[in-house]
Amino acid sequence: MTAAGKTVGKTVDGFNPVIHAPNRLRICALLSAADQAEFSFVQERLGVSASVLSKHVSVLMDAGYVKQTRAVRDTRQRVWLSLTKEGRSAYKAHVAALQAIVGGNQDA
Amino acid sequence: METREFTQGPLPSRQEAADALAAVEQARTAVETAQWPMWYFVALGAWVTPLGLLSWMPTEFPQALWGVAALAVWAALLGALVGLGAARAGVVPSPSRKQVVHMAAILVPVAVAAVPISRIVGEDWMWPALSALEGAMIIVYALALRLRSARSA
Repeated sequence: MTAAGKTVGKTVDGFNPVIHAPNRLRICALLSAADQAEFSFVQERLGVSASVLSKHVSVLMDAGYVKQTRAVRDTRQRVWLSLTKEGRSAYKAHVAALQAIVGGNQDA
Repeated sequence: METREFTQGPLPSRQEAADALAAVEQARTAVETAQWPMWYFVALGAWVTPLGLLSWMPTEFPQALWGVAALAVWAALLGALVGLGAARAGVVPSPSRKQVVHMAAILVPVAVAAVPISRIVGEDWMWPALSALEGAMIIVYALALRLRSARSA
């Protein structure tokens, strides 16, 4: 389990502070609907700068939630992002926690 | 630019959680509505069409190796085509339940239709007829989806 998945970051079952930051939540949501997405696709859909996206991706990668692969096409290197298995389950748990909060079912 | 960060602070309010869930839905929709180029579907349909001709390849060893080699080349080029489409679209969506239903809606009726066709034109033609129909259906389906999304835009 990564640091983000430990109780240190949890305040309700599945609630994950690493994922909950608005842009990181949107990155995870976007990647959860895809096998993989190109960095520029994510950047465009989020409407953020490359440096902001890089920063959030780094946090998610450090937590073990996102992985990136590089591919060269048309002499340009492209970065593809995808959720790891751990990231996918952490994201699902976080969404469930949000739904519990909306439904008024949180224990905290 | 984002400024809010959640660390170990209090849980989000019900409204904040609802807003976060709305953002989640919006992000997922962005992937589901991402369009792959139309040329990809035309090329895919055209590439699937001749697959059934492989059933005409000799089945005795060692001539059967030609069929295996042809299938390997076909699959490799199919992979390259999918890679090109993905690179252009920028995203490879996970198949949703709706998409799986759509795929079944294409594959099953065509497979059923290939049986009477083969009875009419001969069993040798069953696999070529099946793959040709599947190829045509892929193109027609993509066109229909594109027209529908153009109308709703």
